[in-house]
Amino acid sequence: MINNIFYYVLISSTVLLYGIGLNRITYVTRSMNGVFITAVKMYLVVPSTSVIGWLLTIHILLPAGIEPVYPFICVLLFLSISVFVETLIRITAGCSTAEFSVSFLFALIAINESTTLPEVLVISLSCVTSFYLLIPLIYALRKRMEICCITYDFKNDSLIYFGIAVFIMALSAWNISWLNPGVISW
Amino acid sequence: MNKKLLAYISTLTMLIPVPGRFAYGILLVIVFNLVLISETLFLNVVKKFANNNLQTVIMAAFLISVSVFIRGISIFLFPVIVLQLGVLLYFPALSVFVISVMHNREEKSLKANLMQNIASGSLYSLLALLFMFFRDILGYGCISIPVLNGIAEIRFFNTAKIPVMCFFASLPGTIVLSTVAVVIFIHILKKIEIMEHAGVINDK
Repeated sequence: MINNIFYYVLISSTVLLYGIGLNRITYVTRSMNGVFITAVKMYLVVPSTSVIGWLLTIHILLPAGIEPVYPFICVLLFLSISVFVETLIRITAGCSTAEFSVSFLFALIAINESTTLPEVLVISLSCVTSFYLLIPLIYALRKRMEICCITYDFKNDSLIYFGIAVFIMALSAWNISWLNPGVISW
Repeated sequence: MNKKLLAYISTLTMLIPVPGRFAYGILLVIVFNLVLISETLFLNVVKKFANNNLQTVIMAAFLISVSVFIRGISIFLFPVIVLQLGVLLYFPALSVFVISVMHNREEKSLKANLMQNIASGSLYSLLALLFMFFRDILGYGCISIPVLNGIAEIRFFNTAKIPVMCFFASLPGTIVLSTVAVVIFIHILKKIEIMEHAGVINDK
């Protein structure tokens, strides 16, 4: 289990290596308002969708031989849970946390890449954690860039993407045997 | 500047986690366009009986079901590519959904919507294919095309002799390449906009 947590949070971060939420993370970090509420919603919706979706897939779709349609079942499940949680949040906190693509893909990844029920739960939670772990980093990067004088063409989040590329290289650098012949050859 | 076009361009990030082969780009672009056309046609029907909130829910379920259907057909035609793409084959549907929710709420005729989406989709497809083409050339030194049992390659040069080129086959290399492509494209669009305002070229 601990391997799964480290794999999906850091080594093969769902945002950095799977590319899920790359667009969203640049949008979210423009303002940190409401990030906490959105996180609460995602931490509720993604694991519950993944667990129920996995149970339905294993116990109903697989015996019936129609497991390729599991994304459709998941989207229906996701929408019902998401709308319910969204309503609760709107009543209690009075703000909107509408979000679809990233949470749904996290749920799909969790169902697709797990074999047991605890694994589904761990992978889904790790995916969400990897997303919210990156937000402070990207936010710091954005604030740093606001201080710098950058040219007009690079003001549309381009440098944020370059920063993300550097993050990926920094995380992957530990996984390369740099002293092997050929790694640094030109 | 056309915000909808910018939204299309931003969906270029959908191609970042995809392996840098032209063959995968072709399949994803085809899926994207099929989903986009289905979305335009179905949204026209849904608008007649559902309010905005209900439209969003119905469209999400519809787009995923279209993706499942297209995936089913693709498994028969290109099983190896579909296996390698995995969940990534649902990315076009989610990109189309985001564009639809953000920009397709204007009251226009079906023909006008369809023409606009086909035009933006074609421009996006061209950009996406060019992007995957350069990734394949730079990263692998070849062009790949989808065939029934995998991908076929037309090799131009051996990348083992230029190891630094492998950077463009990696994920950070792809992010750098896509960002540069987007910056250049937006720069060109801005120049065109300036020329339109100045009356150098005709503004439609």
